[in-house]
Amino acid sequence: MGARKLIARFTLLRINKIGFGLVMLVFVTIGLTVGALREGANHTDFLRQAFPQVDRFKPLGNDVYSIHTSTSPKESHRYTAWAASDGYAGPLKVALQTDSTGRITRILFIEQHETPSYFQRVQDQGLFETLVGSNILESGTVSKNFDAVSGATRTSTAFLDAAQKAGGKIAATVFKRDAPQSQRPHLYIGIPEIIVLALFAAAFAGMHTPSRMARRIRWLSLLLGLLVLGFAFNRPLNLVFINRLLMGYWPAWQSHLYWYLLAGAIILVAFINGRNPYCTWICPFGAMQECLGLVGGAKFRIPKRAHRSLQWLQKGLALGAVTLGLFFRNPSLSSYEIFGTLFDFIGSAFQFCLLALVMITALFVPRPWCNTLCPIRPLINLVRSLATRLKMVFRRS
Amino acid sequence: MSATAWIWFVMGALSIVILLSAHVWMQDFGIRMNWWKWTLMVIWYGFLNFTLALPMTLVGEGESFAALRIFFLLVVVAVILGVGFWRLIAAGRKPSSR
Repeated sequence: MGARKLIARFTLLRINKIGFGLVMLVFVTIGLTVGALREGANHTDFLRQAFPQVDRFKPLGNDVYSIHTSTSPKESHRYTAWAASDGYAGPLKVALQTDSTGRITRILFIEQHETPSYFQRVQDQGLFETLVGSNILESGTVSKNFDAVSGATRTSTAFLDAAQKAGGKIAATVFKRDAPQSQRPHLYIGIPEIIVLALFAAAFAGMHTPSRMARRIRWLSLLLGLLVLGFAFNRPLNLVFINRLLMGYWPAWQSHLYWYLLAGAIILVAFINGRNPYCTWICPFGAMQECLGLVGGAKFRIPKRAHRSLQWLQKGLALGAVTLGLFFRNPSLSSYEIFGTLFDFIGSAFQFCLLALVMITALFVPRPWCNTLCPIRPLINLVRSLATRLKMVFRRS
Repeated sequence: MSATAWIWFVMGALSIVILLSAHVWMQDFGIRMNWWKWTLMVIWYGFLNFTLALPMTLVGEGESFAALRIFFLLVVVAVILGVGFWRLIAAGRKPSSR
């Protein structure tokens, strides 16, 4: 092998190990900065877009506005307010319009970052229409006709919460009623939280046991992950949560304990032994692919050179997806994973086609999604590499 | 005879030809068939027919998008079942002397 080739290979190796982290850091910083600058829009601009027939919004304080049209320029018979709640993929802002008696005449989203297919499901269920006609001054009427949309529970309940908050603002500011006290999020510990901790404990134990025993524990862990974190609760780690954290949309830990446990456990194990237990031992989608590999044999191995190129593609996709999400300040915008498509049967036509392709390929190739397209593995590897480097720095110091 | 009846007639004839041919194919592959292997094969063949028939019915009802989704789902299941059944049927096969 010539010297030039050796140098090229060595450079590529260094770029592979160190450069991806640096490139990621630069892109994340640029995306965050540009995204933050783009987000500086005024809420009255959103309201103007939402209610184009309105001539003037007179602020009454507490995000409440009286509406003035050309037919009644001095006197207002309608009021509007906006409020935010914590949706699946970040803050979800709702504008509410009432008449002079407190009856809701119109309601709409002014800002949302939800996954498009889930948001579409909420819209298709006619959630807006169920609240129109309710009176914000009669306690409980806003939520009386409301049913959370199955499969998009967090989006629909966040919508109701934001609508109730906006109604409360109008009731307090215009009608001088007591504004409802905003409830503190409840600490929720359920089956997914317990299972994810148990799986990480099993993975950690399995990493330090003899190989035959470890293999059994791994299969048990994978199957439990597939059934509980996959089909029962649809909670695989995804880009939406990672983008949310990077953007600063940190959800309340009480209501999102599962995600914090998951992220915390990955970081902790990365610091302790520098390994990635999630992809190999827990990921429900990885488990699904391994099950398909058992059915089909999965004996085909990707040639080394092609595998290396595909790894670069995977890193590029992860980098592009994160940067795009940050640039547009929308955590779910670039989330192209097909986990929800498999476990909830919700997704775009593209995602369904991709899922079909991945599932069929998984019969013959071991874990094709994990090795070529999944954006989670490069991001976890980045955390591992950062953790290892930090440990080295601490040891030296 | 109406066009629909002709289609059913042709499909039935094709099914018999396919199942009879399967016997010869299996001999060519060196696979000794028994009752459970034939059962698996018939189940899969029935599922394959269902995979084609259900989306066609949905298209006829004017539900093209639903037909496409169901078709993709059923094709994937059919392929997975096909590969799995084939591995079971072909397990321990000996190359044919023919």
